[in-house]
Amino acid sequence: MSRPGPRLDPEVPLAQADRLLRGEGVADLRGSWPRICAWLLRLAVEQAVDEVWRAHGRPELMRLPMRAQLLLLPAFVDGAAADEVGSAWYALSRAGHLHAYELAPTAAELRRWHQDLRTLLPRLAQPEPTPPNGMPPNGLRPSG
Amino acid sequence: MPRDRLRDLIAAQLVHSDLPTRVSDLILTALDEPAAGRQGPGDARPGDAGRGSERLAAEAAVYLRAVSVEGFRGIGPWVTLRLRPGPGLTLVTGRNGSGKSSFAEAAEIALTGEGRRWSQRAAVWRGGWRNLHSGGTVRIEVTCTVEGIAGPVTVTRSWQDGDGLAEGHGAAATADGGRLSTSGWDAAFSTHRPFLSYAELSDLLGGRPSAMFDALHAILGLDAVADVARTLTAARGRLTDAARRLWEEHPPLLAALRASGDPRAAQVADALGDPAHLDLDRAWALAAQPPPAAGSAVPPGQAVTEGLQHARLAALAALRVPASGEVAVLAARLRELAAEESGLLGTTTGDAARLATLLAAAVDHHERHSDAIADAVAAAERPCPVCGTGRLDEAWLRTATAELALLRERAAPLAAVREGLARALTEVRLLVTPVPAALATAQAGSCSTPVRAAGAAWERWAALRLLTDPVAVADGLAAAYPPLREAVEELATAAAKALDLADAAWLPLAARVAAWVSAARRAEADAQPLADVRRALEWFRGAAQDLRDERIRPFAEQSAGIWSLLRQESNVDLGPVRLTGSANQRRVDLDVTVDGVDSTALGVMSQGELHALGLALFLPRATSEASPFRFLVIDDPVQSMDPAKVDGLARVLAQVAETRQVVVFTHDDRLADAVRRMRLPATVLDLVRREGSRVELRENLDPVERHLADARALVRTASLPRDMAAMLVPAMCRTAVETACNETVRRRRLAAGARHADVEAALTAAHSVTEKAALALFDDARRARLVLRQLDGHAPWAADTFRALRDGVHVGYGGNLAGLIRNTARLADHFRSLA
Repeated sequence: MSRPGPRLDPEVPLAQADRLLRGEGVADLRGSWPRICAWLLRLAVEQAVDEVWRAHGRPELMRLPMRAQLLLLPAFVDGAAADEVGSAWYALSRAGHLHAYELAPTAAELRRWHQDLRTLLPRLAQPEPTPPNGMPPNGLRPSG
Repeated sequence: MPRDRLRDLIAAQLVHSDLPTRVSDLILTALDEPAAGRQGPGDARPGDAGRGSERLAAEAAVYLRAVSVEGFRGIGPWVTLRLRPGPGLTLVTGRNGSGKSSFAEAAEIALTGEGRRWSQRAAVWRGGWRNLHSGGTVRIEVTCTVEGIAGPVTVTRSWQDGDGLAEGHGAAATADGGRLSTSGWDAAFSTHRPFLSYAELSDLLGGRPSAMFDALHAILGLDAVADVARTLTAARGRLTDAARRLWEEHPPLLAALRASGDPRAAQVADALGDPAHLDLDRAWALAAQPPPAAGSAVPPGQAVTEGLQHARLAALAALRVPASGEVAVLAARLRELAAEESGLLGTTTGDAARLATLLAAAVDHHERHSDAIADAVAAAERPCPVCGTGRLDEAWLRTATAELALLRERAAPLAAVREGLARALTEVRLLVTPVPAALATAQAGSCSTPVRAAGAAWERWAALRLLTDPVAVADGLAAAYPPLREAVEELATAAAKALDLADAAWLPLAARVAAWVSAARRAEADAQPLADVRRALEWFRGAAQDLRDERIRPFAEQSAGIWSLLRQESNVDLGPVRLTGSANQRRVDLDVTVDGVDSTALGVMSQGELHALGLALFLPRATSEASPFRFLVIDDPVQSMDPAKVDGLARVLAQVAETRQVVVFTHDDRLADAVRRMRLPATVLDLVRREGSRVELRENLDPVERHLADARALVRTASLPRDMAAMLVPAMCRTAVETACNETVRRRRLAAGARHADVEAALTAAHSVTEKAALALFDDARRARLVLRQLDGHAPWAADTFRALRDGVHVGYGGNLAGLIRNTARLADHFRSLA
């Protein structure tokens, strides 16, 4: 589950996914482009999470399995954004894998994920707001 | 919304309108009228506990605690589905046929007295509601917490052997055995429907537009608005109906008037001919006037041919001949006198009369000449003009005068007879009138046989006037009278018949005219009220639309929010939802855009999208603040949804579950899987049905377990830096314990009848895990200092674990993390098992 960690701007896979969605270079890929697109989008999510660890000076966390990383994420960024990143990653993983009885994601579906990530991923880089009422909803916060 | 508040709101709007007082009064009066045909709040539901039972307040918030079922549909022996009262998501998963829908329907039937799935099915379907594997008894028990009532409220419905589905006996009771009536919930159940099933969601969007309108309209609390519109529409209907009937009747009435030969009809037609200038008074006068008396004169200046004709007929009908007796008496008198005269003429009386005539002539001759010629000599010498020899002198005159007197005396009887004859002839001339003018004119202008016959008979009759011979006159009277009488009577009868005919046609026509004129006068009087009602309706419809738009906005926004979560890959956007139209035209306008292009047609959407849209529209209804039901039971919402939408649905349900108790029955693992993957707080129960309809429930995942599972996953991650684990695992454990405490506090306080908002406020106010534990242990957050001692009293490990997860969050936990998780699970169980 752990991935090699060359530094990659999340913008790069997002832009490549966008190209695929616009039909550029799709010819060679035949019918597999939707899954490839889903993988690209998932890669963008993972890169954005890596950026969080770098920003907090904890690059060793990049090597953790994604489930653990997503569990740690609410301790570092806005809880709602962390939740959304989690569901996006799981949904994209599911779409990227071949599941029995499930069809590949549609172009509209992928485009929407693409749009969502465009607004969601930058939120990971923002300094987290002070949660109201002391504790964030998940209570997962290494507080001082 | 209460009627008075609505009235105030509308009254305030009326003040700012430019409507005349008359019109605004109409609206306010309609608002004050009680709605007809609506059920009063006091109507008891059959099968309820009946008299002496306390009614449940319609606004007290309700959560479900448990649903127990025996012998109903797929469920055989008694089984209980326990739920955590208070907000939260519970998924009950089970394969098709495991009995999950039976639970959902049982809860609905027990609480509402009917199941939607069943009430609309044919008898052959309804027959299968009893479980085949159980004995005769069917029993459903729903336990709930009700705000303001201490201890759980149990609503039961049971059926004896042989009862129909609708014949179940319902009862509700408090924990201490007090009887309750659930009739206060009836309106809320139909308005908010906390039970949603797949079939119902599909029906609502696929059904008649008005049904969806009604369903949404009910939640807006604007029934009074609909009532007012109905009242005003009915008033307008009454007024326009009268006017419509009036003008529907107008053309046929005019046609009938014009077709009639009657002169009055023509006049009325003239008066009413121009709808813009009705002369109602003239028409009324003509219609109300009695039929003309026979023989009445033709009105002066009468120019209408038919009128002349009518007058002529009237004159002819009035023609009369002398009475036959009178004619006979006169004729007899003439004959008698004539006979008497001729008899006297042969006697001395006759001679005397003749002589007297002669002498009188001679005397007259003498006087004429003596008077005229003063010459006495000449006169004295004048000879007698009869004999020529005698002299007519003074002496002769004296003798002759004396003789004449004597003769006249002797001839007196004859003179009397002659006088009688003269009188009789005068009478004849009075009796026998010339041809009447009416007959003469008719004769001139007509060739009809009766007219000609009567004319000829009358001419012969009138000729009698010229005769002087009494016998000839008497003969003439006898001969001319019978044909005259016959001919004239025939003519008069014919004329009268023609007149009657005209009146027979006129009288009903006159009645119609009179009725129409009355109606027209009423319509004239109603014109103002009608205009007022129209104006009131027009204004009110606009005001009602504004009210509706305003009221539905929060719901529509919620719907749009839900849809945006549900739609996932869908290219369909949901804009504002509006309730438009009225009466039979009422419908729900969904502002649906497909790829940014307007499309009101729901036909562009897939079944799964329609279903999701239905949820988006009806979740806000079921979760409306006004609903007492803080729970929501959804049966199989994921059918025909694609995987991406299931993720969206899971998030929507989790969102709703933040403030509501959401119980979802689902036939596959997709929703549970989504909940697990997205780490949404939820309880997952698996339902397994064994042979003999024995149904078992097994808790698969609950919110506490979710946090512990996360913690275990972290611990199992070998490469996780120790410092992270040391901080995060206690944090997750702490959240697990807090969740357990919250659950206990909610269960206890809600069961005691506390207000739900107060419970949530108390939980929010308890910031730290110690305060939450104090709430769970002592029901008092201020006794936080006593928590550790209390736990220590329970077991030393409990206090140690509590301390570890409380402090580990801040300083990290140095001990065995796996052991901490195990102990946390035990500690959470301890908290959850507190009474």
